[in-house]
Amino acid sequence: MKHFIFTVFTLFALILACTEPDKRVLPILGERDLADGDTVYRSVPEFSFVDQDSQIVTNATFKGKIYVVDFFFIHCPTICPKVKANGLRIYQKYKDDPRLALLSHSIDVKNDTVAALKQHALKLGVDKPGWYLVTGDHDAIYGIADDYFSVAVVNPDAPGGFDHSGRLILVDKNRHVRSFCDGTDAADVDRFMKDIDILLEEQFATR
Amino acid sequence: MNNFKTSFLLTLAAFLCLYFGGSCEKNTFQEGERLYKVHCANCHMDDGIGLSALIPPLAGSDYLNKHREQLPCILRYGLSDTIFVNGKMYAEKMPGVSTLSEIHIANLLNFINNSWGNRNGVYRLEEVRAALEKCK
Ligand code: HEC
Repeated sequence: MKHFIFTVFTLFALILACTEPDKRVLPILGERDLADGDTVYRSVPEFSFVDQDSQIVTNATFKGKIYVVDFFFIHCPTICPKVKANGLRIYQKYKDDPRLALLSHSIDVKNDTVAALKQHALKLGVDKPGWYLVTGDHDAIYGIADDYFSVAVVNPDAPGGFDHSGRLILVDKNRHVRSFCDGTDAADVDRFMKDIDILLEEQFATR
Repeated sequence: MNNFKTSFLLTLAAFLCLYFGGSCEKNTFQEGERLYKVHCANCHMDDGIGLSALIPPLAGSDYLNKHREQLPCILRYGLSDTIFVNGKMYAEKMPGVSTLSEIHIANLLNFINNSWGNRNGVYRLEEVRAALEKCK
């Protein structure tokens, strides 16, 4: 009997240990320069795209917000639907929270017109502002992809090397990349969503 | 001592349950499952639930039974039509996988028709072969 109680206690302690709130601080990822003898982190450069409602989306759209970035195209036979399904989980959790937005760039600028993006968004179930599906100049889209993804180049522990596919990237209010995950891997996205909460806490703490 | 053994076994069992939790529903269609992960799960998802109004579900899909003879052709040649699955309309494009052999197709269909709560019986090779004759 004693042992049984002991076992129950051990299990209970284990469960407690696993649900302990996360106290990590997210690092600032990406390239850094040395200016005036101090490190400065490179931030996401200026951009200007058009979203599914024909509205111009720029850095100003995300002023005072943190946001999640990805790259996709509508007629993607491979990983995109999984990334979209996980993006949808994030959207659904935060769609009433104005502090967070999502920004999906189409890399098929020829086929994914504004009208096609609108239809895609509606069919996906995106009916509120907060998830911008954008298109724009081909070179501008591919250029900004390099900027967002360069974080992993200087982040050698990025799982499975780095390519443009399937990543979700978390950007803070100061246009710094703070976290990323494999958008096809639900467990990794769970971890990423915890990172979102940590960043919200850090950047919007009421003190 | 016996008590100790019991509690040890209990703990072990608890951990095993945690570790293997969820995988208790053993699937007998392992080759079909492997093919599904490679060719289909990206779109229809690991648990067959599809994606919003873009990709129809396979789990609990009434389409599977209603269009039993067409399924082999759909897997090999794709589908781009306006269809109804469980009363919901889908009008998207599914690419076929032209490299699937008759055996692959039978394995795949047996997996999707008997997973996630689906109980639609199995396909025999002759049935798949006959169905494919019609869409050559
Ligand atoms: C690129 C995404 C994609 C892939 C990969 C894909 N499907 Fe589909 N599937 C779809 C879409 C979209 C439809 C609906 C087509 C339409 O509207 O005409 C569909 C329809 C179906 C249907 C009929 C409707 C239903 O839900 O019961 C079946 C069965 C099916 N797919 C099975 C498969 C199987 C098996 C595979 C793997 C060999 C596969 N699909 C791979 C996107 C995909």
